[in-house]
Amino acid sequence: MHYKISATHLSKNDNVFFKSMLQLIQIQLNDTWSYEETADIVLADIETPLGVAFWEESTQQQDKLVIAYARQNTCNAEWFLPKPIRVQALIKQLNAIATFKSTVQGAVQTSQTSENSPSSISTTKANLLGNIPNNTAQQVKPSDIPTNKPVSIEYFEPEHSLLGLIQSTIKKCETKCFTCEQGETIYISPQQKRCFTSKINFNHLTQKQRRLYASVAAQVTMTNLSEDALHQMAKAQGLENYAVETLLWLVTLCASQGRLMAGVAENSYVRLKQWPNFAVLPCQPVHLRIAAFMLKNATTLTTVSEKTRVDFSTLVDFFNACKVADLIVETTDQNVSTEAKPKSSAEQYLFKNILKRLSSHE
Amino acid sequence: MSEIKLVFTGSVGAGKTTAIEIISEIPVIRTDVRATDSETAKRKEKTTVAMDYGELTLEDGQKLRLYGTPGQQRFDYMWRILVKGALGLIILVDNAGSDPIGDLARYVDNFRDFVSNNQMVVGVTRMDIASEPDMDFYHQYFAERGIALPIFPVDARSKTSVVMLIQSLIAMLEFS
Amino acid sequence: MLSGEAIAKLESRLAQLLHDCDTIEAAVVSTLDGHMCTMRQQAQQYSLERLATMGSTLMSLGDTITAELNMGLCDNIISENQNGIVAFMHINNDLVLVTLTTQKNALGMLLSHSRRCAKEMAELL
Ligand SMILES: Nc1nc2c(ncn2[C@@H]2O[C@H](COP(=O)(O)OP(=O)(O)OP(=O)(O)O)[C@@H](O)[C@H]2O)c(=O)[nH]1
Ligand SMILES: [Mg+2]
Repeated sequence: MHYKISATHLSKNDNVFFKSMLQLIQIQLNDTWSYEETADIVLADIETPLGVAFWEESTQQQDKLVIAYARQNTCNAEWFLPKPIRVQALIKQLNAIATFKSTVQGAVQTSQTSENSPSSISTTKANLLGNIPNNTAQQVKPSDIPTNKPVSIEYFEPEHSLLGLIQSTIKKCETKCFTCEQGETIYISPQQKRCFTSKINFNHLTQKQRRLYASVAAQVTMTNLSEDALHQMAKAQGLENYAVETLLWLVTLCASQGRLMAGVAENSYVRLKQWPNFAVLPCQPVHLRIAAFMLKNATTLTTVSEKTRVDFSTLVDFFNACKVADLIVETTDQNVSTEAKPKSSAEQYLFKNILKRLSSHE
Repeated sequence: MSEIKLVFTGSVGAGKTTAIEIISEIPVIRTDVRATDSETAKRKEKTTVAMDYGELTLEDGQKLRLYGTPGQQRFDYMWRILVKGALGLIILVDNAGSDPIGDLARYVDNFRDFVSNNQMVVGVTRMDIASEPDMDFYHQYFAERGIALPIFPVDARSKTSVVMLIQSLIAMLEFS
Repeated sequence: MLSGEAIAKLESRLAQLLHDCDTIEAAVVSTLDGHMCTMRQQAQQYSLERLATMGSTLMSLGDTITAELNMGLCDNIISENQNGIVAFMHINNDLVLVTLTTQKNALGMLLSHSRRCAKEMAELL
């Protein structure tokens, strides 16, 4: 089935981001989705007055299916996509809409659906049995044609993202420039263990920064350059420089989108090897909470999420960043020593108050 | 909970007084006097002999009290007095001192009883003056002894650093 | 730090103090940052090293308190206890004299002898 979707009242950045994201996730969607200027399925930013008006009108008239796009679902919209756009949430939402549409319009579409399914089933079977003819296997080998490799919905695979490119540049000790369409530009000097780019506000990344950090390898343009050229460039553009660790950390936080790092079993017991050096690894208060718990306890991420009351996808992003920074230890035994005993509410109130006072200090 | 207090302790000249001064909202009550022994005097002019005291007022009017201990071992009776009833402990270690890892060991051991029910964090200061030992040595020291405490480089002259120390301590307290 | 000569002068004045007033059981001169300069006691019954550092702690707390209250310089701190009295006082900006007695009603004597001693020590240096 082919669905058309448009977007309205999104900021320019969000709009560009949404379009490229839509292309990016094609392979993970159960159906084909394309962006059109006008369509019956519309993503509307309801944090703008016009967006809300549009949403209200369409909901009343029931002529369009509108996905409310905002940080919070304040309108109690049936179809809702949280801000900022994340791969997983978008896939989930679009697939859900497709399922909804197909049940409503099911009868009409049966013939088309059945046309598609046999081929996909046969591929899966062939894969499972491991009996794909050699030539076919070569065609889909991801390392040969990275563009064809789907962005995994389930796992975060550094080798298919900017992160992997930076890591291999560091390994090979090559000075390189990385950028992507409408994204930030960064220069990496493995020799100096620094990266050069425009100022980063750790509490608030720009759209340009997010776009680059979260991009898949295929979207990234890399250029080799000499150390001298890098220096001239940095000077001419007044670039700031940061530790490479800082960048790897930020890129991972941005790119993992709630997907666990490939190769990590979800139910393995993990703990922090040591306290992350938050002087160079930018963190949010929620990261401190997780770190405090994971420093003392070895357990599954699900348990960590429960005990710290941090949502799983935020936890996973942080975990991946720690993993990249080599701060994670996998253990065979579970060891939950600090029973996160329920603190008295007075104590919790006090901690919150202290943290509040401190944040006004910064 | 009677008094809400945090205690800064750690080696001579690590920056306990400096740290309290940078975040306290009242002029710090300090008991620094001229250092007479050459060992201390060559590092800095003055040293704490009783305590430092600073304050932060919380939203509801409660005071968070910040105490600093003297760094020199001779004053260890003050450590015990000051640490009584504290919510948590911040240990500062001077990386440019003569035996920073030894200092870490001494302070952590000394306050071990305290840490069983309360919590502590460690900040390593003056890494810009002496880059050795690097953080790996500290981490290794902890790892070998199975000590799981936050430890990271800080600059006692920087508000952000000191705030980060307290934030980390509070995070640890939430799960203690 | 003080010269050997200066310490010798302090030592002999301290000996005189304990000779003149045998109610004073022990006396210590320490630097304001808590290093022992010299000590003397009638019988070898106290470990006075700790008293030297504690003397500096208390004296500077005293100075901090009087400064807070705009009361000028802290002359002395008296600790009256179940089994005796301890007095702490400045000799000068850098030195502290600590004296003690186990006689509970000897406060006057303790203070007057100690004060005179402190004053003369300041002049000696
Ligand atoms: N260069 C540098 N100087 C620092 C750093 N942290 C603290 N300092 C300086 O180190 C000195 C520390 O002095 P204090 O704050 O008096 O140290 P303290 O721990 O209170 O010492 P005691 O009371 O004698 O035990 C001050 O001069 C600070 O400015 C740092 O990270 N780098
Ligand atoms: Mg001090």
